[in-house]
Amino acid sequence: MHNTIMRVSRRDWLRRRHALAALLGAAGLSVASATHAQGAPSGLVRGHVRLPNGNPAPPTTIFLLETQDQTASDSRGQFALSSSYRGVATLVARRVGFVPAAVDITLPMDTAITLTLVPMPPSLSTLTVVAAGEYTLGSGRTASLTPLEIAQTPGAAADVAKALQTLPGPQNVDEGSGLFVRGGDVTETRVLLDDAWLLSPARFDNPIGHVTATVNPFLLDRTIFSAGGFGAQYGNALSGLVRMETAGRPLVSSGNATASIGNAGLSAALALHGRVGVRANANIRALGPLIAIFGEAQPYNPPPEGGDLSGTIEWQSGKAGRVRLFALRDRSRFGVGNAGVRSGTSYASTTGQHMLVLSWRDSATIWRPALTLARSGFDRTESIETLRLGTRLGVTHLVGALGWQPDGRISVRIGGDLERLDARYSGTVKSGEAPERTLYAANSASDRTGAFLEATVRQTPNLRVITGVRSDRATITGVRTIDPRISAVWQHGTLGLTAAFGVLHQVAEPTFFRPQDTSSRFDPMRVRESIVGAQWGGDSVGLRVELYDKAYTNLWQFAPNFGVAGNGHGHARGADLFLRTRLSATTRSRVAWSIVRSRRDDPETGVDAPAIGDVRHSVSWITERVFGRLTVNTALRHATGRPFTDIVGTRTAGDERLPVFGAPNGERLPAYWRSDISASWYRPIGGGRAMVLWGDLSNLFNRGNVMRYRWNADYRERLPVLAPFNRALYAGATLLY
Amino acid sequence: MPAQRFSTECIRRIVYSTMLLACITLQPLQAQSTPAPLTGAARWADSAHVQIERAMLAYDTAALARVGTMLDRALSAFSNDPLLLHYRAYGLYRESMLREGDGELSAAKERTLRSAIDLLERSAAARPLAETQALLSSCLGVLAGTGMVNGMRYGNAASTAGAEARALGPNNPRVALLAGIGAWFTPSMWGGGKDKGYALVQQAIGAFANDQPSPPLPSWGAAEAYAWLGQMEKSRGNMSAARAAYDRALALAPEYRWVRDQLRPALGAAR
Repeated sequence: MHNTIMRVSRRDWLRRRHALAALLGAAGLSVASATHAQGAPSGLVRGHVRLPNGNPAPPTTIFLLETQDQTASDSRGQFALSSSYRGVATLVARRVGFVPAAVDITLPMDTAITLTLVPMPPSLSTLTVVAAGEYTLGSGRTASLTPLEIAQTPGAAADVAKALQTLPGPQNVDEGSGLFVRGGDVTETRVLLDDAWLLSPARFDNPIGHVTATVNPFLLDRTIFSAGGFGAQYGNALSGLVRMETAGRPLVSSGNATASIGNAGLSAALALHGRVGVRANANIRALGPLIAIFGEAQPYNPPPEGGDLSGTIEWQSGKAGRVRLFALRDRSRFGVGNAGVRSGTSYASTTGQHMLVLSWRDSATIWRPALTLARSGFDRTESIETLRLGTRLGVTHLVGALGWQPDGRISVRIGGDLERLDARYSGTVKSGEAPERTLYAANSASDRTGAFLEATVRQTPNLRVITGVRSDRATITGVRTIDPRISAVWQHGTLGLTAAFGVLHQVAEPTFFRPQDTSSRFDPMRVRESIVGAQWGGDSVGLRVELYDKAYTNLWQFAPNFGVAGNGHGHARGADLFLRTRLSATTRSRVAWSIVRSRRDDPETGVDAPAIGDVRHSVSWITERVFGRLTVNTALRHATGRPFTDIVGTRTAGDERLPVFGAPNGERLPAYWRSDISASWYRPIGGGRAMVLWGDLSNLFNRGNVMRYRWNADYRERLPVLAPFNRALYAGATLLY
Repeated sequence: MPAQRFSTECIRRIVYSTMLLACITLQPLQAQSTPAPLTGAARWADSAHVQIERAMLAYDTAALARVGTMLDRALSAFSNDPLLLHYRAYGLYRESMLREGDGELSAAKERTLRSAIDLLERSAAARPLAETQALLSSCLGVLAGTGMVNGMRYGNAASTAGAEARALGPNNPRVALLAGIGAWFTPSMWGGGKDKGYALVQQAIGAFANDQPSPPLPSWGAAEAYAWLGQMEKSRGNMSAARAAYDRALALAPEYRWVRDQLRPALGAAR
C-alpha cells in the first residue's frame, strides 16, 4: 500500500512536474510572443546609414525591395521606414557614387538597423568609343563592316580597299582601289597584314585608276582603317594605315566554290586537329567575257585577267597563344588604249606579288608578346608605247612588341621593327628595229629601324589617354626622326569625344632618291596632324564627326616630266561624317561624307596648288535590305571633280609640238556619280550544303564618269577619258559545303 | 489494474522521454540536413529562377515579364550580381523563345536577344558559369540563324561561347541540352546536324540523372530535355519513343503546357 501510495505520490509529482513544465513553457511562449508583438504594430523600420569611417552617410534613399516602400535618411544618417509588409524582406540603401547596401530583415522588427555605404570603386566598363580616325572592318562587335558586308558592297567586287573607300576619310579620286586619305597621296597609305608591310606601290596615274594591295576578305578576321591619329606602334605612314588581321583557325571544316562571269574561285577551311586549322583560297579572273557582253568604255588589250592563291595555317600554341603562317601569291595583267596625255597612247602592265608572314601572339598573361617575320615581293612591268618600265621591290620585315597589361587601367607596349627594302627600277626604250636602249637602271637598298614606347592609361572610368613616342632611322635618308603622339577618348553613356595629336614621318620610296644629286637632302616626309571628333550611338545606329588639320613638310613628288621634287610643303584640313542607321527591322543604311581642302607645292612650278586628293566632297550611301533569304544592297557614290592641270596652248621645240600647261591643278573634272545594286539569295539544298546566287548590277544608270582628259595630236582638242566600265551585270553562284 | 496503470505510466514516460529527446536531438539534425536559408542577392536569384521556370512551363509571357521587373528591381540593389544578371538574361531568352513568329527575327525579338547577350556577357565577366556561356551561345546562335549577314556576324561568337560552355561544364546537362537544340537547327556545314542534336539531347538526359546543383544555381531543363527528345524521336519516326519522352516530361512537370497541350496531343493516344 505504502509502495502504492509512494508510487502514486511519485506519479502525481511527476505529473505535476510535467504540467508545471508545460505551463512554464506555455508562459514562456506567451511572454515571447507578447514581447515580439510590442514592436510590430508600428510597422516601422528604424536605423541609420553610415560611411565606413563611422560618420553618418549623406542623405540616402532607403527602400524595401519587395514593396518599393521608401524613405530617405537625414543628415545624421537616421531613417524611419513605414511598411505594412510582413516576413523576410530586403532593405536597401542607395545613393549615387556608392555601392548599394542591402540586408535581409524580418518584418515586423523592433531593433534598429545599421547600413554601411561603401564608395563605389571606379568602374572600368568597356569604352566603346573608337579612337580618332579609326574604323574597323571585321567580325568584332564594334566592327564598322563585316567581311560579308565587304563582299556585298555593291561595286566593290569583294575588294577590301574598295569597301574601305565607302568609309569616311578616303577621297573618291577615281575608280581604282587606291586610298587617298584626308587629302594625302595614295603612296602615303601603308597596308599591313598581321603587322607586316604589304607592298602596294602605286606610282603613276594608272589608266584604270590608282590601285592598292588587297587580300580576300574571307581570309581576314578584321581590317582596321585609320584615317589618322594612329599610335606610336605604327611608323613610316604619312596619311593612312590599313591593318589587316588574318582569320584564325576554323572551328569546323567548310568550303565554298564560286563561279561567275569572268571569275572562278575555291575556298576551304579545314579544322584538322583541335589545335590546328587551315584556310585556303584560290581565284582566277578574266574580265574578257564581261567586256565582250557589256562593251567597254576604254579599248582593252588584253582585258584585265589574273589569279591569286592564298592561305593560312595556324597552330594554337597555348590557351591564348597562336602561331600563324600566311602566304599569298598573285599575278595580274591588262592593257588599255588612250592611256596617255595624247590620244592613241597604249599602256600595258603585268604585276606579280607574293608574301609570306609568320606571326606569333600570346595574351595568356599580363605580358603580351607579339612577333612577326615577313618577306614580300612586288614585280611590275609596264609598257607605254615604246617605253618599258620595270619595278621590282623586295622587303624583309621583322616586327616585335611586348605588352604589359596588369589590369584594365594601364597597359604599356614597347617594341620595334626592322625593315630591309631592296628596290630595282629600270627604264628602256625600243623604237623600230633599233636595239633596246636603257634609259636608266637603279638599284637601291634601304634599311629602316624603328622603336616605340606607348602607354594607355584609364585616367578616370570615362577617360582613356594613349601617349607614345617612336623613333625611326632609314639608311637612305641618314636622318633619325622622333614622333610624339597622343590621343584621348572620353565617354559618357553613348556620347564620346575624341582627340589626337601627333607627328608622323615617312621615307619616300627609293624611286625618288637621286644619289647623284648631292645638292638636296633626301629627308623623310613629315606631317603634323591634329584631330578632334565626337561620336554618338552604337553599332547599328550612330553618328561620328571628325575635324582634322594636317601640315606637311619635306614632301617628295613626281613632276610631269618624271623628274622629282622634294622639300615640298602642303596643308590639308577637313571634316568626316559617318552615319549608321536602321530604317526598319530589315533595312540598314550608312552614309559617309568627307569634306577636304588639300593643297601642296606643285612639283613642277613650286607654287601652292590643289593636291590631287583635293576632292572637296566625297559621299557614299550604302543601304542593305533583307527579304528573308534575299539580301539587296544599293550604293550611291558621289564626288566633286578632282583637280587636273589643263593644257592651255602649245609651243614648238624643234619640229615637235609641246603642250603649255595652265595653272597647276587649276581645273576640275566633272562631278562623279555612280549607282550600283547587288543582290544575293541564300538557299539550302540539303545534305548540309547551300547555294548562294548573287548578282551585281554596276553603274546602274550607265553614267560615263570622266576619269581624266587626253588631247588630240596638236593638243588643241580636249577629249574625256571615261571610267572603264559601262553598265554591267556581274552574276554568279557560290556553293557552300 | 496496477499492472495496467504501470503499463500506462510506462507508455507515458516513454512518450515524454521521446518527445524530450526529439526536442534535443532533432533540431541539430535538421540543421545538418537543411541548407542555410538563402539571403540577399542569392534569395532573389533563387526566387527568380523558380518563377521563370513556373512561367516557362505555364507558357505565361505576362508572368515572365513580371519576373523581369522583379529582377530589374533586385539589380538596382545588387547591380553586378552575376546570378541576377544571369537570370535576367535567362528570362529574356525564354521570353524571346515564347514570342510569336519565331521563324523570323522581328525587331522586338532581336532587341530582346541583344539585351540578353549584353547581360550574359556582364554576368560571365563577373562569374564564369557554364550555363551563362551556353545561353550566350544560344542567343548568338538564334541571331546567327536568321540570315547570311547575321550568320557571318554572330556565328563565330556563338561557336566560341559554346566551346567555353563545354570547357566550363563538360558534364553539365543544360550545356548539352542547349547545344543539342542549337545543333538540331544548325546545318551540318556550320557544325550542327540532326544526328548531333539528337545525341547531345540524349547526353543531356543522361547528365540530368546526376545533376544536383545547390540553389540558387541553375537547375532547369530536365523536363524540357524530354520535350525536345520527344520531338526528335517523332522526327525520326519513333512515335512510341516520342510518346514516352513526352510522358516523362509531364511526369517531371505536369504543368508543362507546351508538352501537355501541344506536343503530346499531336501524337495522339498510344495504340
